[in-house]
Amino acid sequence: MIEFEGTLYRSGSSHAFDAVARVSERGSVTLSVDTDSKEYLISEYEIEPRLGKANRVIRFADGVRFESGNHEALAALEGIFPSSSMLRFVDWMESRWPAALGSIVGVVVFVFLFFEYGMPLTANYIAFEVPQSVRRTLSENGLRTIERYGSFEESYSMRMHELGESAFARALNLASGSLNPDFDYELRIYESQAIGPNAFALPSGLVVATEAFIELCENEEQMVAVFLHEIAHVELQHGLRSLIQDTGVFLMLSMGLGDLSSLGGMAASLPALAIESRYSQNFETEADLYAGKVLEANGIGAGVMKDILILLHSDLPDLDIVQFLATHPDLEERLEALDSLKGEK
Amino acid sequence: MESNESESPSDPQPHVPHAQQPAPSETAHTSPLQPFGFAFTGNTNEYFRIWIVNLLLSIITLGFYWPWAMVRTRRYFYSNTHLDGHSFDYLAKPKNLLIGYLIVLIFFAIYLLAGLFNPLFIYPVILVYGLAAPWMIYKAFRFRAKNTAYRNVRLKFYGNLGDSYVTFLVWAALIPFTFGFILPYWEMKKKEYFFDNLQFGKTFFNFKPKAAEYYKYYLLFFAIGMGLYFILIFLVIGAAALFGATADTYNPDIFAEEGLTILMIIGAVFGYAVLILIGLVFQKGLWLLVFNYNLSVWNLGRFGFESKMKFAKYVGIAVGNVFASIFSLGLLIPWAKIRITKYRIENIYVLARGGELGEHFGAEMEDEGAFGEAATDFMDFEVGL
Repeated sequence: MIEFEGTLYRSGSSHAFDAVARVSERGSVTLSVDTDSKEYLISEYEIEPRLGKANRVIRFADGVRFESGNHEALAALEGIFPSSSMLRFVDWMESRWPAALGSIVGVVVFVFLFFEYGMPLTANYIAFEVPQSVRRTLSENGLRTIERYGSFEESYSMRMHELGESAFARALNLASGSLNPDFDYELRIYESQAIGPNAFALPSGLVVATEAFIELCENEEQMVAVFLHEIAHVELQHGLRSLIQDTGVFLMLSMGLGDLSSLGGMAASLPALAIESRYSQNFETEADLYAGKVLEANGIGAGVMKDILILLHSDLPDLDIVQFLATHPDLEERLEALDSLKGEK
Repeated sequence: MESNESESPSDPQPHVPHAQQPAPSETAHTSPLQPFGFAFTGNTNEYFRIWIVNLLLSIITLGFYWPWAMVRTRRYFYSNTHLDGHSFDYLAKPKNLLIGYLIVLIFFAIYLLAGLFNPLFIYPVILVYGLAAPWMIYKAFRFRAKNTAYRNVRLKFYGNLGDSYVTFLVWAALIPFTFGFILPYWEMKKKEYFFDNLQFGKTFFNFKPKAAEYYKYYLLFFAIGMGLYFILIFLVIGAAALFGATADTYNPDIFAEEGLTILMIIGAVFGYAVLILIGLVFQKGLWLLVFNYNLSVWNLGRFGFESKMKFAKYVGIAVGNVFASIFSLGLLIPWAKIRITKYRIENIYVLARGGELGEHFGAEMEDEGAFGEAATDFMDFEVGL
């Protein structure tokens, strides 16, 4: 028989009594205050799970609360009549430093695996399941948002259209062997002072190039190289994947680090940006390599990709200290990645 | 077990053995207010392990363990908080927290999806959320109060739903029209809605703050804030002019320009850190002044409350905690939480007139219903707000 002392409070009363609890072999508990006592069946009480060294509380069906600091006796009681095994396991972990240190490692490993593989794989799966009609809506909305904010208008220059369309058709032709029939490829040429020489792709297959970009290219091959890079973004659904991944990162970090609206929570936006930038840089390298491979396979050579990257890059200095937050890898890395293609051959 | 309830020590006895001595109840009215302190026995050694295990389990279950983690955390803090030798209880069931958690998750998912299809679609979602929020706050307040107990007596929140809509929707909607001038008043109304509608056993809490006090603190902080803002603007413009001048004269080449850009980025990061520091000092400082004031006007029947937290000490702990948490990559979060909780709890006092605190509680704080009854109310849940 287990016997232990504690403090008893009756139902709805704050008055505290010194009391003794006696546990029978059948699991019934008898509470005694002075000469007064009452017996409770095993189904009539509940032991709160252990939590650190705080006093243990047993709650009885009639509202009586019994509190005791006698951990050995309560452990013995639980030993006879097991309570929630999950919470006992949690308590087992919590009361051991090795388990706590193991948990730190567990958290780090899980977070790494989650962001490195879990999130990208999930996003990859979802992105290709999205219907093309939804991609089209998303792309048109995205483009309209850009139009609204920048001085960004469709080009009226016939010459620009001819140059662009010709290179775009050639790029599609070069890649035709591996193109997914789901996407509707279309080139649009825009005129913009603010954006400068640039090209980007939207998930439906919409590729946008600026007049400044077409003017910057020294020959059609360079333009083809960039269009292949954009086609790769569409084929591999980088746009949707990053949208899904970034939302996931934001969700996970705001859940893990607490409320993002608070001032202290602002610090959480930096790791989020760093993770998102890493995803984005991986996609850029992937698109460069896709374009490089197609160029190599068709006898044009990945060199034109390098040339246009250098040209595009000339007016943007690299800043090492913010590289980990940038959306694109730095120029040297991109050129080296393209060189590695030749090594493979 | 139903006997000696009436033997509660503070019951006025009809026969006073010695006529010269005043009756205990009279002593209670004439003797000066006496502070009874709270004690906090939580420690980092224990809490760190609870925290890291909860964190691990929460992330490997993709968040679904979170309600259980939350209950364990709250139980740890409640059961280690003592007043007059008795600890507090947190009684919530994780399942009820899970309901609230799922509601918020579903709302958030709808919000994100709607925004993806068309940015305009988020407005109806925001509207629905705005209309539902006062109801959820009302539910959360009831839940939180009901699941807090001291000496086997629960708190009860008896505010009504209509007041919640007035407080959290009507007053909030007026903020833009008054150019934010009613913001301090709104803060006060929110506090009043919770703290003036609480009941412990049969005794009601009273909370009647004065708007003038709220305005005093908010306007003071607003004035200092604006002053600092202008000084900062002045410094930034001054620095920009200085760098601009040197850049023009000496550094026409691109390398120097890059150096300048790096310098500007370092400056911006530093400026950002200073801004966060000032923001934190303001946020924590204002919270403390208002909190201290709130406690001074809060009472439970004959009992008053007092906070003896000091401005510099509290702000130092609170701001230090934020930086310690960030620079330790989160590992010092449990230490920070224990440190601030200990400071807060051990500087709060219940003011009682003479005698032992336990006697007063024993005499008048009695719960009406059966204890277990409320625990089975599955309709109540808490929403993380």
